[in-house]
Amino acid sequence: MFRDFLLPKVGMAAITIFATSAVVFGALYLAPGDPVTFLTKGRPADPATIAAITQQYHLNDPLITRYQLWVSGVLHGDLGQSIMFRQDVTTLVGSRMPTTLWLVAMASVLIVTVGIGVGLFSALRPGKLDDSLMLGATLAAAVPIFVIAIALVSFFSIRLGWFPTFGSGESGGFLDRLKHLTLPAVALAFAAVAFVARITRASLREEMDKEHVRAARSRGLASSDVVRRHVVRNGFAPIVTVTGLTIAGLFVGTAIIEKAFALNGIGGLLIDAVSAGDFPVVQAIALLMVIVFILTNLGTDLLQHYLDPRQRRAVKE
Amino acid sequence: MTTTTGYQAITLREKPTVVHRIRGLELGVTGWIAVVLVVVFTIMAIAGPALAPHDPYTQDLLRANNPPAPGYPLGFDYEGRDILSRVLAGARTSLLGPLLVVILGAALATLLAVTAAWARGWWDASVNVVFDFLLAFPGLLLAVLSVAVFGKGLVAPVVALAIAYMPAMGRIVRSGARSETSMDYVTALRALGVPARLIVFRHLVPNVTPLIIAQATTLFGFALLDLSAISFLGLGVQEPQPDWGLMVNTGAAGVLLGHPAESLSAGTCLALAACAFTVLGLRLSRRIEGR
Repeated sequence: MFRDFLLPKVGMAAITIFATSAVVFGALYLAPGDPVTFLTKGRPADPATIAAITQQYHLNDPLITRYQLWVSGVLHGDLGQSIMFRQDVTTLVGSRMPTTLWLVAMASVLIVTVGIGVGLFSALRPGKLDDSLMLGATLAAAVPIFVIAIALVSFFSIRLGWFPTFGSGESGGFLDRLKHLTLPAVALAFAAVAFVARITRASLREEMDKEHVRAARSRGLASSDVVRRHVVRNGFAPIVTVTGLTIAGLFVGTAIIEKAFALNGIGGLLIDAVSAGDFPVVQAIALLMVIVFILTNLGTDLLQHYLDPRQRRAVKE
Repeated sequence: MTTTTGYQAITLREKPTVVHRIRGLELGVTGWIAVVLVVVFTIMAIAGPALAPHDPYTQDLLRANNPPAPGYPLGFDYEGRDILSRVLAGARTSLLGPLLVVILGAALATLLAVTAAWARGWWDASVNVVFDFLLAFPGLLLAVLSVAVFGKGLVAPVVALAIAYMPAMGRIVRSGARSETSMDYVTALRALGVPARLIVFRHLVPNVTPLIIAQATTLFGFALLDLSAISFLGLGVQEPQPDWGLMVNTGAAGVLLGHPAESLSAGTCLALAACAFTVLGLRLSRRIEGR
């Protein structure tokens, strides 16, 4: 199990993370012009500032040494200094983390419950309602999430006044936070819920058409037993994969949602940093987001392996 | 399968007419609605600026955020510009970007995938590694990173998204091209001594073109979502240029004041266009798989 499955998977993830770090590090040197001008946004800098930047980025050393120093800094939690906030990037990103984690957690709960729930319902009850639910899901998955965000604010916050229009409510208690993050989480999860619902239905339908399920039904076994023991158990593998993938993708989506609702998480910070040319912050958040994406996918693969005995056997053979 | 035989019967007797070909597409009602929408949006992208009843750039702060007036059916934006004219004029910028993403992405993907399927060996393996690595990079993140490096505007995000979407299309084209290479006609061409370059670009590429078109249609929808998000975030198209993603953003202030017309009309166009391309892409893919 370890050598045949775990090692290649973890190794592949490690190599991808390594390659990602090289891309994120190298991006600074892809920029037109020399790094000092890029980091000062072309503003005329006094010799002291230039010396400080040259020293901080080790610009006099060869590229490989710079990369090694940068990676060792990242591994020790040193991501450099934010130009915009004149603050440690690690501290800055750390202080913005809770909002994003709350947002992603709430959206994930919606995806798992509503997405899989609608898919299950649709799979088990073929007919008009199922058809229109699935057409709705196809369309919903194609609507930009910032349009959903604006529509939700326009209706629920302005017209009905049920929810606050912006802010993450971190000064208040648990309920206040929940209230502030409900609309953002719904907007973030919207397309993903629709997508997961469609995959769930397709996967379960495929299982229901298989011969052993038909045989079990024709023998008069209770429908709920057939569904639970044959359809859901066998059809769950692709559902787990797709749910994991969509949840992994949520972190990047927070950039859009946090800007739309003026929340102070890391997604919004990423966009502010890009606008202001605060490159160390951009590097840190981009690296973090890709690593989370890769690790979530790895976690999904492992979970899959644990849940489905057929895969374990396939690896052994 | 009855449809296949029916189609063959027609081709044996005579060349399929346009009516037969259109019927043969079997898109269904939703598919045809999608086709109509795609045609409407294409017309808007080509002729939109000319169709605009007023100048989309003329400001008049006295009528900022005003409700609809005669001749101005959607009202005015936060700078007093005609919203309808800006929606029509914005069609071009909003749809041209995704088109470029798809063309560039499809060209790159086809070139890599077809040569990989043909050559196999180390080239195939390296193309695969590149595809695998790119899949670990969410497209939107790559686009945001490209803006951080190369500056605001559409150029960097368009190139970044084309690269990010390349593996999705490349994998499908590669497996399609690979099954073609084992066909008898390819063996025959090889035996005749036809140069590899000619077999690949005269025979393999045309035979995987339906796959490319179906996939490109779906990806157009995704590119529209991602590029409009970039403009919504203020990193792509800049004011005063009209663009749907940007209009959803600039209209947000109006939403808070109870004038959601700008955001909602631009948002509706985006949503309809994205839905149309996604549905059409799905229908075409299903049609090709069924064949």
